[in-house]
Parts: sequence; C-alpha cells; structure tokens
Amino acid sequence: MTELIASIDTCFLIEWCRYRRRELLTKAFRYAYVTEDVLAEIKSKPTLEFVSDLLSKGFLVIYPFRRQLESIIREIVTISVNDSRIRIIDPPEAYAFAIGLRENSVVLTENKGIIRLVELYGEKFPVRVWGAYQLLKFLYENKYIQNFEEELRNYTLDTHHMFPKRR
Amino acid sequence: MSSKINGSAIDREIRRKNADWSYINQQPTKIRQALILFIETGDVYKAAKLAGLTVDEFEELRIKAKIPKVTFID
Repeated sequence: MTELIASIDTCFLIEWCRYRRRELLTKAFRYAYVTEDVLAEIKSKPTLEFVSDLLSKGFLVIYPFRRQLESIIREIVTISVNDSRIRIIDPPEAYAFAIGLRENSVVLTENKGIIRLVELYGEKFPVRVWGAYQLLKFLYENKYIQNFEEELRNYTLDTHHMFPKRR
Repeated sequence: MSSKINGSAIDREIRRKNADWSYINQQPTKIRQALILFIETGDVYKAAKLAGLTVDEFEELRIKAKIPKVTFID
C-alpha cells in the first residue's frame, strides 16, 4: 500500500472527478488533505457523489490545523504578488501548497503560479507538486494503468484538458 | 514595473482556437466575461468567482464552451 499523502486543491479535485477512472486517486495515496473551502466549491451530482464517497471512506481528510498555515499563506501570496514571473496565487492553491509544505505531502494542483513558485523558490519551498499528468504517470509506473497514452487520451476526453508536447 | 504574467501566449492561443465562440457569445455578460477571462489566463478559480459560480459549476460551462485546459509536457 502506498505511503504517500496528498494535499489537493479545489480545481484539481473537481477536474479529476470528471475522469472515468477517478477512483484511481485512492491507489496513489494513503489519504489526502483538503480544506473545507474545497467542499464549498462542489455542486454537481457526480462530483458530490465521488467526494462524499471519499469522505466516508476516510480517504479525504479535512485539514484540522488551518489557522496554523496563515503565516505560510501570507508568505506565498506575497511572493506571488511581488514577483512578476509568478502568476498571483489564490487562497485555494495557497492552502493546498501550505499543507504540502507542512505535512510533506504531494500537492495536487494544475496551478501555474504554484508550479512556477516551486521552480523559482524550490530551496525555500521543497514541495512535490503534481498535476494530472504526473499522477497518471505515477499510476502507470505502479501498474494501476496499463496503457499510459490511452489513459491520457481518456483523461483529455473526460476533462477537456490537453497535454501537448513542448516543441 | 514589469507586467504580471497571465499565462503563456501559446496556451492562450490554443484555448482561443478551440473555444466555441458561438456558445460563449450567447451567454449572459457575466458568464461570457468569465469564460473570456479563463481563455486569457487559464485561471479557473478567478473565472469562476467572476461568474459568481462555484469551481464545479464553472467547469461544466468551460467544457460546454469547449475551452481546453492546456499543460505542456516534455
């Protein structure tokens, strides 16, 4: 069984919920932290059903120490506001990132501000950040997915998220 | 002061090119503007909040409007 723990931001979870093999999330991680704000962003029946199932199984854990993250949040947001190379980071991504930093968990996000923050300030913020592509790759490497290219195509079809190759 | 990076030009072009503009232009002003914000920035959270929607509701609209998310891979 995997020992990895995740911290999931709103946009990632809601997108992942639309993937036909969304239950694979539970194969990659032992459990995953979210903040209660994530739950407020869920409205549609399929997303509600999936998230409710993950909560009932104890896979999704509402992060209990939110107030202790505030100094990290302030620092992340301030850097993103002042460094023109980084897109401004909004609270949901900032919380997911701060949990990742504090709990040594993998941060699941597609947020380009977070990705850039780690590229530029990796020594200050040594956090593993994965998007859907990295998670699918991990699932493939651990044999939960047989055909990586096909699964990536399925993911694109279900979520309308494209992964073009950099030229 | 340099301007804030709002998403790479290539990402934006892919979103613009794939978008169903006829669907977007039929939407009420607030929704239309939010979809355009997403096309320009790729930022779901900000676009959803501009539309006055949850992220989940905005995702439904984004998919109906055929606007892709774009992640370049090596």
